[in-house]
Amino acid sequence: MSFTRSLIKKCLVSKNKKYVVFILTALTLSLPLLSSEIFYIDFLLVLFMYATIAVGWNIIGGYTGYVSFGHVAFFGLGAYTTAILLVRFGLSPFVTCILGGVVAIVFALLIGIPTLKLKGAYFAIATLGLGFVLQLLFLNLGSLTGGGEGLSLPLPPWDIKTSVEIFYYAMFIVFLASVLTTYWLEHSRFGLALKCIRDDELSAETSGIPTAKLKTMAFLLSAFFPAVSGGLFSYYATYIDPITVFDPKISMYAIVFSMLGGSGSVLGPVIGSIILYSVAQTARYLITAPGVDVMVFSAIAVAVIIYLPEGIVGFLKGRSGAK
Amino acid sequence: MNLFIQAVITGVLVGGIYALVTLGLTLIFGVMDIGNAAQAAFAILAAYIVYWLSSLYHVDPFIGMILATGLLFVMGFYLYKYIVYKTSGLMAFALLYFLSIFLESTMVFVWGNTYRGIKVPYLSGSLQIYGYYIPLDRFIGFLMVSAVLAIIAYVLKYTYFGKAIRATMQNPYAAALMGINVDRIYQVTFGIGIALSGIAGVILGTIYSFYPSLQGVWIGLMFAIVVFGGMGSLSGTLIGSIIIGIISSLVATYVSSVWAPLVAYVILVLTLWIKPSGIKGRKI
Repeated sequence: MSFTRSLIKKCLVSKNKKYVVFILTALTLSLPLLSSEIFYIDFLLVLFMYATIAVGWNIIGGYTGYVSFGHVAFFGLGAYTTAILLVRFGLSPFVTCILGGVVAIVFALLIGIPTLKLKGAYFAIATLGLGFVLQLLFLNLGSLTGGGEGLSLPLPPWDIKTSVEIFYYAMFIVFLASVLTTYWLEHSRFGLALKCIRDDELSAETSGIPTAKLKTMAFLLSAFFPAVSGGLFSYYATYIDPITVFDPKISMYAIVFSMLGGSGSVLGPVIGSIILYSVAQTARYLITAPGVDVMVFSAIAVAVIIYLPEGIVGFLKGRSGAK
Repeated sequence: MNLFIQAVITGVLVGGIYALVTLGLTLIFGVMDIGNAAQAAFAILAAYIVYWLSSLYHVDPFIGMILATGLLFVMGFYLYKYIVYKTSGLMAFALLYFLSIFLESTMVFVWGNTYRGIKVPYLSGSLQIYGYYIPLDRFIGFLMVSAVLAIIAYVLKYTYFGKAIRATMQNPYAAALMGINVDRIYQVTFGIGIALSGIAGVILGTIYSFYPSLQGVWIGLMFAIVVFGGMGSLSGTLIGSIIIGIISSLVATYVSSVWAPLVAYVILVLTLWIKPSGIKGRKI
């Protein structure tokens, strides 16, 4: 037990991190070659999707300390942008998923400008209803979005195995891009300024950090990645409707995954996603009653906030004394 | 014009009930600076308890309301005493948000995510005054809301306990130095705030049908009212809820009732943009 623990610590905290990350990346890249089971590839694909949303959330919620409760809004916007452009104009989703990210950025600007110049509580309140409002909008703008019936996308032109593999790599690239962005954030002036805002906004402001501008930029960045992964998801799922892509559960997942792993760190959201998504999938096969999975997740979230507010990464760092 | 006045009457009646459900939120926010994201979930929970009592055991909904309110007070009291006090500010908000989802999913598990309504047979029908219809259930609900608001105003203004609450609201440290048990004030205020949402939830449950996921709609509406009226201001909450009630009712009458929640959200964002302190709020 103590051996495992010291091993985990060595992997996470010390200089060995680089190699561990490299080996894991190589393993994930070669997985479709090693295993012919679509189940595992699909499992990891959806895991990458949730991890991307969590990593995106972490930029505003973890690094900047402004907790967003409506990140599903950007995921859904990305999914719908890609779907509409494909169904109505026939544009390739692998290109338009970037456009979905741009749409999400514009929407984030619209919400961010009025709310981010205020204290964190106002931002939290404004984002609380975000997903719901967009769901309402997309349910009732029938001519453009297909309303409650949703949109059916044309099937990808490959056989199932190839298409799952293509989506797997695409989702992995988006996931990797989001993690690299937070890695850059961790080591850049911009990221440092964001951490200053989180720790003491007043001091940051008096030290000459343009807080409102940087907070808005962080929010835009955090809106981009969930939207891109949403765009890929819509083409992969081949059918979307407002109830599934604006499901408030997704916002909750982003927060819980990040918080359990450790918000405000590069690997925290990734670790949290791996653990909790595996738990969620296992629970889905064991328990079939409605509402139980959400019940378990919200209970975990409450426990994390009370007993482990720094998350797993923060806990291990605090114990080993390394920074 | 006829339709317009009818819509305004409905808006005022509904706005009064919004005021009650939001008042608990304002009280908790004003006294302990916590945005209670679980307020709407507790309102729905109270509605379900009363629905359950009245349909299974034939308890009169208004007696059930008293039972549910008492139960919610106890829940709020101990919730603060053992869990919420460990956190503050944004973390408390996040905690209560997850608690609301926990309550919602528990209700889905126990009662299912289908529409329910509390039936009050003697409150069907409507009054007719100068040719305008006033539905009896909304009218009685509005009267009860007014009575509860009057009691709350009296308690806050004239009793020792109310003065202690207001003192804590203004400055908790000074209040503690004057010999007020601030922790106890926090616990009781949290309990009262939750209990108020319970009363309002039952009254709304007799008027509209409800389901567990409705709490997401209500909490957005309630926060829009709180921000619009001014955070922590009790009179601002009253004015704000009547205005938002009237606007929602007008939109429901002239455009479509599906857009009413959107209206509240647009008002929220516009308030934050133009005048973040709201109608009667403290300076931010």
